[in-house]
Amino acid sequence: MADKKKPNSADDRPQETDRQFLERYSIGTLMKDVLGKIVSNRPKDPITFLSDYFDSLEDQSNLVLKARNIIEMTHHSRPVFEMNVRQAYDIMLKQKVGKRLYGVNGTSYTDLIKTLCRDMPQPVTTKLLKKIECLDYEAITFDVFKSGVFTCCVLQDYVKLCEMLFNSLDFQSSGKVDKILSDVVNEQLKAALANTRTDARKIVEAGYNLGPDGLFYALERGMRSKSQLGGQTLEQFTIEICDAFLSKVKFNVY
Amino acid sequence: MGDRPLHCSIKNPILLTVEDQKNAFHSGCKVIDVTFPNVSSPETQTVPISFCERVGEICFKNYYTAYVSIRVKFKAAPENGAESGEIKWKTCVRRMRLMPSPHKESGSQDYFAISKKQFSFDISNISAMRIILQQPSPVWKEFRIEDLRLYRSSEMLSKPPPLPAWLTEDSANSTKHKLELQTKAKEKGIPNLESISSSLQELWGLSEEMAINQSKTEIGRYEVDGCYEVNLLAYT
Repeated sequence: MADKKKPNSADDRPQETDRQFLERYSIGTLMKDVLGKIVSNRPKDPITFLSDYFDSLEDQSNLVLKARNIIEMTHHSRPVFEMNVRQAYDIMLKQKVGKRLYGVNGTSYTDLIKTLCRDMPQPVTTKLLKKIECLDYEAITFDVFKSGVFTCCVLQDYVKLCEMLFNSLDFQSSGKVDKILSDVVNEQLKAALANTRTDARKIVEAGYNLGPDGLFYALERGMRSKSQLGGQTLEQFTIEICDAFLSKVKFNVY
Repeated sequence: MGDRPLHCSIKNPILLTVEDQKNAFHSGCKVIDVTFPNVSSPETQTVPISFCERVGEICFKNYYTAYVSIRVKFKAAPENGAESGEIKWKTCVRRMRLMPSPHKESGSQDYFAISKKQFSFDISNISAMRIILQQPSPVWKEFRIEDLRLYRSSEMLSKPPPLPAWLTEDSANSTKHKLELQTKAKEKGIPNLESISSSLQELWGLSEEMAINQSKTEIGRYEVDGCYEVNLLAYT
């Protein structure tokens, strides 16, 4: 039975070169994109970055998630961050808002903010949204978008720092911090933030109050008062410290 | 100077001239009249009179005045039965030189403070003061004194305010001080003061950074076709 028809095999198709195979799935462009992103974003852990990137390629349908992934590619202090934000904004511009109307409106903006803040305690996110929210039907300009996104990214760093501070203050590693200490620390921070930025003397004073010397005296004073106010968990502590940050966030200008 | 300046009304300088139909010339002499808030003394007349208890210091900025003299008028002391006593003008500061050479620039725009030591007598209970400016040089078009202020007492006696804590900590960065502070902190039960302090400072830095980058553009919430239309707002 030499003439048995061979079953379907790859030989049915005309012999593809390797190059044509790669082109079929546009692997070339994909690789070029990834390499470009790695070079410009310079992540600390390229392998994780690569795997996150390929994971996120599956979320193509949700523009908000796509935008979020792009924004989180690099730290907000690097200049590439602004380019990423612009790219994210461009992606979200494709969102359909109404009949033949495309753009970024209040709903998608709020969604993006919420997903950027997914690791923070809920009360913090609510308070933040109260300050920077936009109504659902409003068109969001790039400036407002950028400022809101930047605030969220800085807040992400801030919340991580809060945790570090909590662990430093938790002297007995009990998982709770004395409310007195937390109050003292909060007060010092708020005093530093309340000072106007342009008054040089106040800035130096604030620096002293947050330095080891000023801090020691403040903590000592706090510890001398024997009142027992109980302990605070990490979440409560974070919420209170974030109040100081949020006080600096301006309401959206009309 | 912690003291606030005394209340007084300073009149505009009057140029003294010797008017003659044929010889009018620039005398180079101006007078500034200073009167004080009216105080009515209950025991004497009902007419309120300008009165000042004490002047300790006189400060001003010079503008091309060469010499300054100060004369004070004492409160009229009523004699028995008479309506008003003699009005005396006494010279308190006689021709004090402000500019070493009237034709030259030096001292022409300096700040001066005439203190009690330079007064011929203590100024107390005066009703008016006259400040006489003289500038003999014809080189200058205009001369006067600016920002004239009278103070009750010489400020040299009061202590300067204590320096803030951050200024006096001169050894804050020395390692010995740091070690001392750490041991003190450990005694109190604060094991890692440095890390708390640096975390707090980073938090401060982050908040300030965020505050600087806040957007100032408007969303245009109330914009209707580029203008703020009050009537349209009312319909919604």
